Amino acid sequence: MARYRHLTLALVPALALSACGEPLDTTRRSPERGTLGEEIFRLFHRDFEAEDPRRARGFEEAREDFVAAVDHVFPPGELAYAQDFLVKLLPLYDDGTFPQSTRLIAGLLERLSADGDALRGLAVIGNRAGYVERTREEALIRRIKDHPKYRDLAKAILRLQLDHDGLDGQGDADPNESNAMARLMKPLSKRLAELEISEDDERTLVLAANLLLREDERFRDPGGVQAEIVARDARGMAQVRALEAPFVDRDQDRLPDVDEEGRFVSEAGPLDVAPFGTEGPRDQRSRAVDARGQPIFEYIDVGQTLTASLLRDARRLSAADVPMRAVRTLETVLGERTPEGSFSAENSALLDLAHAMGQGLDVDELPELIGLARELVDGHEGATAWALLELEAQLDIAEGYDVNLRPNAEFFDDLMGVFRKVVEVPGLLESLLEAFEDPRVAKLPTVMAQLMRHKKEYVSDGDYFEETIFGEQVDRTQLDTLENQSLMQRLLHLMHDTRGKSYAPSNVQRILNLVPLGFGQLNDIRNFRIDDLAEFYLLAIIGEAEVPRGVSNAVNLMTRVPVIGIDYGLSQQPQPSELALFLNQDVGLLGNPVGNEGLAVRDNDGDTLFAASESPEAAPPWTREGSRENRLTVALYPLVRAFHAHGQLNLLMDLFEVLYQHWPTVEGGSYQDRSPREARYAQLSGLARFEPMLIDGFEKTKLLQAGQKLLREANGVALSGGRPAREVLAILVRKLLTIDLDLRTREGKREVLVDGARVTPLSPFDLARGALDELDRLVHRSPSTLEDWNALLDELHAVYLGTERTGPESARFANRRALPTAATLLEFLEERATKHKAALGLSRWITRDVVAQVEDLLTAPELPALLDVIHAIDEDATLKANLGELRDDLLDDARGLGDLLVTLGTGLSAAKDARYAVSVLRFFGRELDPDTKLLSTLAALTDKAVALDEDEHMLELLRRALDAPPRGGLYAYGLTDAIRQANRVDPLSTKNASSEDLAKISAAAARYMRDDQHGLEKFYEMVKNRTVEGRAR
Amino acid sequence: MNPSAEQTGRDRSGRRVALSLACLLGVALLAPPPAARAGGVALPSRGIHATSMGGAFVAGAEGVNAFWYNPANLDESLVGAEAGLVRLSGAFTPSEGAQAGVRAESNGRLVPNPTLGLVLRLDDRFSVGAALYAPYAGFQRFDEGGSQRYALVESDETTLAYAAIGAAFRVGHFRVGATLQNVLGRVKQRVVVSGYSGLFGNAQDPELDILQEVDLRDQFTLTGNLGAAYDLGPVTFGASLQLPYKVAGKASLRVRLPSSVFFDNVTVEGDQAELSVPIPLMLRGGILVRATSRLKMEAALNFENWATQREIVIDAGKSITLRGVPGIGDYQLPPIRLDRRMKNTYSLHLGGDFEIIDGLHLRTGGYYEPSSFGDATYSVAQLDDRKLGLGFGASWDVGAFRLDLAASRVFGWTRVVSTSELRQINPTNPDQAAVVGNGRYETSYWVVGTGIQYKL
Repeated sequence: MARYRHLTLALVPALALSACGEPLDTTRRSPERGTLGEEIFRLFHRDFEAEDPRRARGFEEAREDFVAAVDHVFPPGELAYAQDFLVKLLPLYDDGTFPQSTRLIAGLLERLSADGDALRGLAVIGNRAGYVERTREEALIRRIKDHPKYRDLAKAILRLQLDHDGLDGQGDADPNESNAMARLMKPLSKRLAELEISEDDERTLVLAANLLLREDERFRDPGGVQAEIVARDARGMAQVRALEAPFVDRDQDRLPDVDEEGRFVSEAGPLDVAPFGTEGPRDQRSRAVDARGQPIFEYIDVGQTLTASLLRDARRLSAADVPMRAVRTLETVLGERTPEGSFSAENSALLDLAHAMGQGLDVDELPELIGLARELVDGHEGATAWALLELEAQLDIAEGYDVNLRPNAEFFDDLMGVFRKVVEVPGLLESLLEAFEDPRVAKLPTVMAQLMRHKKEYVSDGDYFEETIFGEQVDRTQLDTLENQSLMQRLLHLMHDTRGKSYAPSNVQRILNLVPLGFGQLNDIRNFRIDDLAEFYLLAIIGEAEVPRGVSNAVNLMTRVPVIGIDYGLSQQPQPSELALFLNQDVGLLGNPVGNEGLAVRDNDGDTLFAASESPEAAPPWTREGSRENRLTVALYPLVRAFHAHGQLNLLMDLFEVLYQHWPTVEGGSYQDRSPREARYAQLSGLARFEPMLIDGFEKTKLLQAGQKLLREANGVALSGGRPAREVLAILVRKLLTIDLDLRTREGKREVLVDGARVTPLSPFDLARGALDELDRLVHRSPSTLEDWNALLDELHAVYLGTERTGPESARFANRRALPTAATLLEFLEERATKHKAALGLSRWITRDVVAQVEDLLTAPELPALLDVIHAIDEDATLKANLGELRDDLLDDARGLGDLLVTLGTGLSAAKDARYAVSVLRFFGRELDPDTKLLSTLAALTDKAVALDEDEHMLELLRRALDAPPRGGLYAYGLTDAIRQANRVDPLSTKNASSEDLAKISAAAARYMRDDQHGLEKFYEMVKNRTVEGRAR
Repeated sequence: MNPSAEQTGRDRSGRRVALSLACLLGVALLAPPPAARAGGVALPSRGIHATSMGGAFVAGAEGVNAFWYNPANLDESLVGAEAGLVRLSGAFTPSEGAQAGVRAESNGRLVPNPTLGLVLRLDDRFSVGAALYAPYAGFQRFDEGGSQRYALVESDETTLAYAAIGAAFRVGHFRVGATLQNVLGRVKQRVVVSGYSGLFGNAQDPELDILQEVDLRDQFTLTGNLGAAYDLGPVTFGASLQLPYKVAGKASLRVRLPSSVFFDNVTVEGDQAELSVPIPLMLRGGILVRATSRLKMEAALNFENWATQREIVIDAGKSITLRGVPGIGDYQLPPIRLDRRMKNTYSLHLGGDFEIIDGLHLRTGGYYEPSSFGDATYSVAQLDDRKLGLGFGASWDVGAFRLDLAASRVFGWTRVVSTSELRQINPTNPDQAAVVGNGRYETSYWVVGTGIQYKL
């Protein structure tokens, strides 16, 4: 037994020995690590090396930036979080969000790689290197990402997209969700996809870019930002200062030749001259210079462009909520939407207004008119601003009075009727404008204020001589009763009563007719007859009233015969004051003048002539001396003279008649509107109620004087053709007011409604009235709309028309940029009008093309969607607040305005690049169509990712990718450049990417995304297989 | 045989038999893993005596080797011990891949393969016995960075040993026997698997190599074999059937993660996986002819049902997880499927024993066995090529003792595979696992051994 046991025991150690192996050492054997960037670079580099050594060497070219980018984006402390975050994203792989997104992008890249035109466009655009000052490149992006609320803003924008794309969480249509974003993108993308634009410099885009980039040093506020971009020609190429060597112009188009890749060429081949940079001869601002040290290209200081000015204004307007007020008002004005969702052109007040303006401005002299306006704004600020200032003061006063005309009053129509007659008389309007410049006219406000302020039951000659006429003021607590009428009202009644009323000393004439003697002066008396007493008085104002010598002598003789009782005689050329005295005495023997109402003139407001006429000692109104007199006759002189010169005094009397007809109030009771045949008939519109307001205005403002000054200075403007400004203005006014039987509304009607009344036939002015009336009706629909409208106008007025006084008769625009802004816009319009006129298409342009463009704008399907999006933003408190802060940052000269301007300026300039850009725009237009779901899917992905990113590190990573490395640009470029370099046709090439390169790069990127062997699809498979359950799917 | 002496012997051995049985049972059922090793596919012969006979040892099986070859022949009281040394010379030169042309040579350890056995003939008809033994198989160990690494790094600690108790019953010329076997299994294999995800690198990128070790210890798997023999004059017919079984259980699975930076933050949690290795049914038949009183010869045919082993699955379920996989985080190790697609084998054995002087036997024999693998799945993981084995041996009886010596040379062919479908193991990216079987294989064995037997 012991033997066996010993045998067994002897074997066991041998067994144990043989079974004893070394345990697996699971310690990894990893070499010393470099930085993350270096390690990732090495990973890819090894693969490239294995695949194609040239590709690897190309990748090496990008090593430094690539490594720096990765290390910057993923600093050591961030890597662990990034890993955690990526793990959190796994559900987005499981639900298909990630794969769907990359598949969509891959599709885009595949299509891009096959789109030769778009690739050529991109290559050309890529060749525009160095078009922006280095320090400004991508500065806007960096500024946005450095914004304190960057994360909140990014998230809010995402939410905006997702909450208004009309899709549910699975990307299917959701009828209960707003689809404003989709509705905005759909037509926009369609528009881009079907873009057809010519290459000439008359394209809207080119024109708009040129306009917005016009420079004027006045656009810059003191201390405002300076930032340069290179100017570009209509092709989008840098604009050379001089077309000289090394540039060539073989095709004689006066532009330097470029090759198919969008590079300048010389006799020797492509030229590589970056407008900004460090290579080659440069000035201190890094601009390319020639051998003489002169800049090779033209440059734009975007800090002093129209864009800069508008943006500076935009900050203030935004702060006053002008954009939202404008949106709300616009929606109200545009009315109901069509079933298709756009605004209808039918019954559009805005289009009607555009149509009216087009018709009103349809004159050959339009360029001169615009030029005149530009000159007045730009060269005569003092006068222009003063006129505006006084007008503003006048309007302010008017706003302080709550008065209205009688409902359905036709005052305005009647007044326009007179104006129309005026403008129809050849030369009369021009004469009136000339007369308007007469200093005596400036007395009108004072005179009229005096007449309206005062009343007097009866003005006697004693009052006249003792100058006690204006001692009693109208009781404004009372209406215009017989006892409380202003002298103005009574004077108008006098004009009404005496108009057309003849006068002859009939008693004397009958007696003399009994005498069979006949000699000159006696015949004078026999034949003396004033056909129209009112007219006679007006003629007296200008020294054109004549009394025959016999009559004058006879009357004067009578004054010397006490028994006759005539106190005042008549000279052969009676002054108005003479007539006043004569008419207001009892000339019983001669026969007192009787008015249309059958009463003696002197008993029926004839005494008001004392108030209107110059004082007894004054020189006649028609003399220089007399002009100093503050009386109506003096003030009216130049105008009466103008009317008389054209034989149209009746029109002036028509004007007085209109004023008379509408002056009394119903309530005053001293006039009646029952029967024109009865005395004191008037339409009782109630202009009398306006007397306090008018007095206030006339006394406190110098509107008329300012207008005179402006007109005088306007006449000093040298217009083409040498015509005076008043002549050109008259043409415009005549065009506006003249009835045109062929004139139609946009709908082809011959009438418009103004205050509910039909107006027909039409003038352009009527068209405008109709449109404005409708506009007014619309904005009065609700108090809120009205408030918006008023606030909108107030703020726009304050920004662009606000003035400040610089002297008694001068002012300036408070916004120092308003003037150059207006001047620039007017200059642009003048240029356009001149061009169209030269092309014999001015009328078509102003009456059809412009209106059509406005119609396109207002009826575009994008507009309602855009408004909805704006509303959505406005309703999102977070987004609104963050956008507001960003806006304030970007619009501040001291902060982001320079960056914003460079970006906008570059964008605008680049947009000129029609030949190439159009293909790129078409491509992206197709791709951004909501039907592709590209944007919505990417937004959903980002949104979900952000939601999973509790600490928002993803946005932080993105922010870091947008940081600027020491060499400029963005860190992100370190990654994109590496991708480009490794995948281009020749990885060792250092040239800008060609279209072939881009095709290869985009195809490679697409392939990587779709690749289920080595690309993202493979990774998705790994992710799916990470669990047992996943593998089972 | 002297019956009285036999009787005396039986009397003497009464208590010893009981004690010996108890001891053998204890060894068989409770012993630690024995040293006997075999690969999944063993040489077609095992044991000193059988090896020297070229494995032609079914009808004429005897001694402790009868436990394996034919338990019907357990009819002589004895105790025996043997030790065999199997030297496998294997090499692989890949014809493709990053290391094409780089020859990898096995450097497996040479460890004795012991056999212990005890047989007690209780009476003229009934014998019992117990034994420890293992099939003869070569051991392989390669460099872990060698060109073969995706097929095998080392397997020289894999063991399959049988602790058996058996019984035989004789009725006239007919004998039957059976053993109950407890298989003491340990499957331990190191292999490099690929961590290539497809995203970077390549399938055979050394930086993505994962050194994996699977270690399965299965201490209790019951199976058995049956045997029969019939003596017909100078001719004995024999047959035996080895029942199939599986070595299965929870294996430990440990890995050394790749050196790639991608895995810098990856850790492995868990190390247990289910593993099941099917061992097939084996059927043996032989005819022994005693040509003279000194010469006997046997011809045998073995059938092994390896076709049952189509694949081996190492399934961790959810218990092994890679933590910190970049961009993914946790990654549950998927089942690892080893493509086997083995084929049934038939081996032919011929052998002869010539007693040239009393007590001194010279033996020789040979066999031919085809490969159990087709080219599609052939690899260094199992260098089971065609085999032509030649064995020589001698026995010298000294009293109750008998000393045995044997040597065998197994010639393998140089096998050039160009249509391999065997792919490297890539748990996360099996679709892109590289084919690693194409190349040139060289295989040969030397087997030497000695044994001693004592007749009780």
